[in-house]
Amino acid sequence: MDPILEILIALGDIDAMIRDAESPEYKELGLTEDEDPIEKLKKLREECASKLPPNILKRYEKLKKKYGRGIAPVVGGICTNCFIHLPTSLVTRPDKNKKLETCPNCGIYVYWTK
Amino acid sequence: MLEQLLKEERVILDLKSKDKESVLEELLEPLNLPEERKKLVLEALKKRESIGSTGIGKGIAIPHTRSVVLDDVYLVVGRSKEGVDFQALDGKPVHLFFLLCAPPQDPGTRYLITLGMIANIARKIIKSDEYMKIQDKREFIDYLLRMEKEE
Ligand SMILES: [Zn+2]
Repeated sequence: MDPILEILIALGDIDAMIRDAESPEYKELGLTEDEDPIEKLKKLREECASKLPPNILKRYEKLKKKYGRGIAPVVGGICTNCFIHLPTSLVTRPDKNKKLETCPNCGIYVYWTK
Repeated sequence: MLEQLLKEERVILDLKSKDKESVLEELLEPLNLPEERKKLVLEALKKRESIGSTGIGKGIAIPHTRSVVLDDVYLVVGRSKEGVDFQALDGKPVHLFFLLCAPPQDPGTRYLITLGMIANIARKIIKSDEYMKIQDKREFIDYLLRMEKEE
């Protein structure tokens, strides 16, 4: 796997955790006794983001501002951010996840789940 | 919803692991993820644990996370006869695990709704030790579904 992609996945996972931790539905569950899980997550996020090349981080943050996320899984050939079917030429390529890629439609960084 | 997620092949009645990291790994096994993806989900689960244990007390833990590498919502139920040191909130060993993981966004927020259902079942289940006695995976699933409906 592309090493930058691996960091982007970790960052995407942390951002999803922050989004949950901030949601009233999640808070209601009372699954964490910690007073400030969001602060801890933000620290983890900082650590993770600092490992990215500045231009990629900048792009990720821009995407996150626009869509609420900077990376999305492709499931069954469909980008789960914009729900468009990616071109067959991309879907059938054998070197998926070996280099950093973006959705040709919405521009989000993608991870191929298959 | 829970019925669709509870599958016999994702029930482990006799977990072998004794510590936090290895039990998380053992719970991920039934998902049959490629090594690379399994590692990333494990990392995400550990990050979630690092902000506060999901060992909610009374022998039950609900490790959960979202991850970009997942294509669907998955639930694995695992039981440990001896118990696992999971740094639970009450310090007690954990005997029953509900591992839930999901992609970053899932239509209909199945992930959060299921987490709520599990937390609810957990509160009812701890009232007896029946969950430690069941010997059959199908029976175990039926028991959980019964508990879910019980008032
Ligand atoms: Zn897209």
